[in-house]
Amino acid sequence: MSKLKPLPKRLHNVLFHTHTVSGIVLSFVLFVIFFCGAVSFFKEEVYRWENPMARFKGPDEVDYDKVIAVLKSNNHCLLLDEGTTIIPPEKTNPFIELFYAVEGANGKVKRKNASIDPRSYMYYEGLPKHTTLINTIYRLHYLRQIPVIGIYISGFAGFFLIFAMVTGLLIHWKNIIEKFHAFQWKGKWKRIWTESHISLGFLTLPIQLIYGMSGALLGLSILLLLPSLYLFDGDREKIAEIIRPEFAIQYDKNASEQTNAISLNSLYKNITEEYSNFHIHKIFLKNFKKQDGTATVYYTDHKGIMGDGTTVFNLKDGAIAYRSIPYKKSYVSSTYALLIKLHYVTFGGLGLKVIYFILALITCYVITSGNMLWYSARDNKKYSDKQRQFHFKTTRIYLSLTLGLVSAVALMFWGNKLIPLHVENRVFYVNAIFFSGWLLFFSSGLLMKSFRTITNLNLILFSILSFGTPIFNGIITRDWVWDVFNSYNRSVAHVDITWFLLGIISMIILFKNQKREKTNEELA
Amino acid sequence: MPANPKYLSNSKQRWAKMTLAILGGYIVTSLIHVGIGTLIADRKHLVGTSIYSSFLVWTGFMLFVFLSKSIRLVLWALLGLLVLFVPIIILTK
Repeated sequence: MSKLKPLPKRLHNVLFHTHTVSGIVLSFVLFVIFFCGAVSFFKEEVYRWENPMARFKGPDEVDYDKVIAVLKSNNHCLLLDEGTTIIPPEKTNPFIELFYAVEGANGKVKRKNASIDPRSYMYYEGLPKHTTLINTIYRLHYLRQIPVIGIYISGFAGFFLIFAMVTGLLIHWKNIIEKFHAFQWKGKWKRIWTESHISLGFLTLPIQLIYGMSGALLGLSILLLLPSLYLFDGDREKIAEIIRPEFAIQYDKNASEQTNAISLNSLYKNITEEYSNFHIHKIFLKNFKKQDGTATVYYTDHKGIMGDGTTVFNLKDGAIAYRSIPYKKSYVSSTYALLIKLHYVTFGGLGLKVIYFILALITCYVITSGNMLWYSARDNKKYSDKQRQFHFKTTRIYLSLTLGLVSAVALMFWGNKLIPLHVENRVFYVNAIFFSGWLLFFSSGLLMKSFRTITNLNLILFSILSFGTPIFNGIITRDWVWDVFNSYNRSVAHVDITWFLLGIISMIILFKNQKREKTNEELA
Repeated sequence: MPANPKYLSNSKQRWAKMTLAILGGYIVTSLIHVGIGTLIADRKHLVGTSIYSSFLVWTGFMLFVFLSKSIRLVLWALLGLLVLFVPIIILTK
């Protein structure tokens, strides 16, 4: 196999150093972001699992005018002008979700959310928050738990990922083809780390670029806004309109009252008739009770990357105020939408999500192997004892933190089932289980004398927690895998089966690891 | 396998380079985008493009800073871009 042309010596060494330093610093936060993000792909799919109240089959049709009536009757100080979002029932969540504003104490606008059961139109306040599970992991994904600066840290992590990716590509350039063909899970660990880091890193380049760019965009959009603001004389709304033209409509706060607004049901029917293969995933109402009120309907075919559309109706007469036709978006409004879609994988269906999930996990492996590679390349006599201690400790912190997180996520699924739904402050207890579990796994990792014991400890923990998850779900909610597999609650069974499979995979790795250890001892 | 230190810059230079790469990179990115934005007829196209081009230009400049042999070269480049774009931005405003 012919080698690719290497970089000049100086360039190679300089880039190598920046790649190493930025990689080691980044690895901690990037692993957390990538792993939590990978789990969050299935935020919707896990909903029925985390909330047993949502395990029912809703009716095919929903009366949206009744939804508004129910919302009104349950809130005295409702501010319909401020913007109300209705999320219609989904396959993954049979509730109608509402996000709305009320007038709180001293006239301030307070945002709230509620769920409506489409069978009985029963009204539940704050239900989605109450059952939080993936939501906590999702928030950890962009470091929301760190006040104020968390989102910027995650944004910069995304940006530096682009840098680490480009430098990595350049320095490993000469070896990419050769190592790709030579890669095998045998021999010395140092060799395995090197070769797998290069070949798997190469395979995950596209996903790293996607997440580097879209992640930086989501976290650091404020930095992108500044130059654009200059071009439009500081008019922030103008830029929002360019990116999302449906926001261009102006509303009059003092418009007169609307008496006979058009029915939401007829607007809903209007869209479903025109776009029969599309699914309405959001309805947004603005200035609802006023003469100039509008309803914005968002719909998608869940397939194409440009396969979503928006129609804004005037509530006065049902006329179309603005529309963006699927597959016919303008350039300016599609770049942002494209990156966001690539980030959240709201196209291509569940199969693509699984592919993304696997690629994201491989990226986690690439990050870990980079860290291990850094350690094993320095584990020799060229370094002083003090330096070697530092290398060992850094890698030990990294492994305890990241592997502990993996186990803690499994623990959180237990926590979700162990704390009953009706308990007051439930979110706090579930989160406490997750974070204290993570802290416990992390600190027990720090006590270990070798990386192998940290790995084995977490593999055992993870296996136990994984096998336990479907059992806990069965005992507590009475929905055993075989009971729900052939019903509308299929996603519950999918979650259980996934955990069972993950438990088996974790066991296999554990045994292979032990076997390898034995043969190595015999050889030595 | 670790990088050979004889090719690396000293610690003072390193901090200067990191600052220039991150801060200078942002300044350069903004300059180029605002500069081109003032030149083209329909400015909203630049907003659409900047969404994906900004971070790439920024990364490119970071690479340039880390790879350049001296800080002086980077400063000259920054000055050159300022001289090129600032008059354009002021004149076309």
